[in-house]
Amino acid sequence: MQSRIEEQLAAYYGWVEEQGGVSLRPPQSSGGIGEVDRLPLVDTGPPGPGRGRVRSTALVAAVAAGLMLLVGSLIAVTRPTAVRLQPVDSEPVAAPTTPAATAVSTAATSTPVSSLPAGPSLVSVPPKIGDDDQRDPIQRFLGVPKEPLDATEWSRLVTDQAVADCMLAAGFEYAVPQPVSGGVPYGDPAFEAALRGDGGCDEQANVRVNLLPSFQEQFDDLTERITASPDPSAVAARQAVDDCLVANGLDPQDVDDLRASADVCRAEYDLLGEISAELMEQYAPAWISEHQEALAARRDDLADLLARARQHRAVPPDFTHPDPWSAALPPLRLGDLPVQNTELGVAGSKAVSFTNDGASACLRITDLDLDAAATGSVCTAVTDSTGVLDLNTYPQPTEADSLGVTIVAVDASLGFTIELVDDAGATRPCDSRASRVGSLMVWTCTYTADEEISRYVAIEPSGKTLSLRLRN
Amino acid sequence: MLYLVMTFDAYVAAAAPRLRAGLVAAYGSDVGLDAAAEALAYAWEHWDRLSTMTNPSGYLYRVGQSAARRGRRVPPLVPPPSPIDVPEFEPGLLPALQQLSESQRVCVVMVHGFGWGPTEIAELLDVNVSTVRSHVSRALASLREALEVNSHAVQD
Repeated sequence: MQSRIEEQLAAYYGWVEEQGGVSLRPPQSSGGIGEVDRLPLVDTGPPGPGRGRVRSTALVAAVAAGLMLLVGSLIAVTRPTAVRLQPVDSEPVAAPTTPAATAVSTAATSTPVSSLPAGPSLVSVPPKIGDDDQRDPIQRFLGVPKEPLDATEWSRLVTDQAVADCMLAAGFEYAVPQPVSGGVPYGDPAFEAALRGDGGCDEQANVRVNLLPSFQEQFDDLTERITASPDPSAVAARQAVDDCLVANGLDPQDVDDLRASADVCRAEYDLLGEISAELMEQYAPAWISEHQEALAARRDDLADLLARARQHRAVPPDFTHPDPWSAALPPLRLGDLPVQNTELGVAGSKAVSFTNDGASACLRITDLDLDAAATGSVCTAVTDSTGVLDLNTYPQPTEADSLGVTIVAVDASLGFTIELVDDAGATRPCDSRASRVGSLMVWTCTYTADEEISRYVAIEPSGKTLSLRLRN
Repeated sequence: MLYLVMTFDAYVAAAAPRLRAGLVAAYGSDVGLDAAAEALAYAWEHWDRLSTMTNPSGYLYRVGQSAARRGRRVPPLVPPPSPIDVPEFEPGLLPALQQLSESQRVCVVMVHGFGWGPTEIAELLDVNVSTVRSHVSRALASLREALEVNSHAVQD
């Protein structure tokens, strides 16, 4: 009966889709699972050479793991997804000429490895700064800040400046939208068209700031080198993914199977992603050298955009500083928070807001699933050091539910840290994803019923940070 | 480094099918499509904010849920298809779908009705992948039980 149920569901909802006249299915050309939400990974450019053809999905893995490392850290890309493996005996491609790569090539196999064509000498790529530096060589070459938060802000600044340049050329003065409240359509249709119309300044700025789509062919070339690497660990990792897929009844060459494959071969995909990132370190310098002129021009343009953006607006003190809320700041108390009402956002089924009227500060959580019936808040005098929000007043999370808390620090001089506190009192960082939006700092912390965390939220200002602790 | 920064139009083109599918699965085609349209309109107005989120589709799904619930006047609609369009359609399927929880219905319809993967659904619903799998499994079990019961009842 089960197969019949599935067939019936497919037939019925195919009919529903037809009646609705809109697509309700995944795009068939999608490269992998979850692609939609990897905003920066989705190519928005026009069709061009090399686009639209079927590419090796191993390329997707390499891109996700290597080319997009920092992007991954910024937008919570979890891991490489759909991967189609090139045959192990596929034709090797140009190997890197860096010492590390040479060592790998030598140690790898007896497979003949072609050398790079004669060309410009290798450029100097800035080294990684510490073990936690997730930038790939291309990002380092282009001057992307190390810290993910800084990189997010960096991207915003250069993009906004590029939009402003474009709009000025079109005869409009463009005021950079304010964070959070921005995005409201402008009233002037001509302005709107210049900004958001086809080929408008939004689009042009993206093309100017981002390497894709203009470097699509070059990226294809690089990823093909990486995915065809004869490095034995890479070959083994690809084979392990392949074997895992087959063992789970999936066809590595079948895109439909790949869509469902990432979860069943998680460890294999993770390892392949790590190795791809290592290969990126080896292959990218030679690739950068080959395209040095264009990349250097792009790097200089980005630096110019950034410099002009920073002239025009307040920016965080220093991108290179590991802690933007550092040292010189005075201890934070709740009373230090600005008098304001802030809608912090929606996470999971909960909307979170923070209010401060100067006398008391309140954290309010509204359960959207219950039509605001289960709204609760905790308030504390601004001079108090601790406030506790008892989440027992809310329905406990069910299996289907997850509770998320989003906290926005209202000024770059104020920071929030979020910890999960278990029954034993042990703390651990929450699965926080942070980003900086203008002068705002946004952390997102989620947990689920499966983790059996938390019925209480405690607000505990301590030193220079305000901690939100979720307690059992 | 953002090698690509998505425009609103590109995001909608990529995200709308999944958003619509989830809301149609939850609330039926009429209410679901309206809710999806509201959510996408919200996205247009708040694109600067959404574009910085880690899971904008999950956020918009919640916006769509709120829109659907605000305007809900009738139970989720799952109108029967015409016999010509869907021959040999099992008439007990739609009542059985109605009996599922919303989460179970969304998951099983998105997987088997529209062809989305568990990871994609998990992102949309902001739940764990294991939760999606569990919902699908339980939904299929419930549907199977319901239809088998109906089948036995007819035979009896």
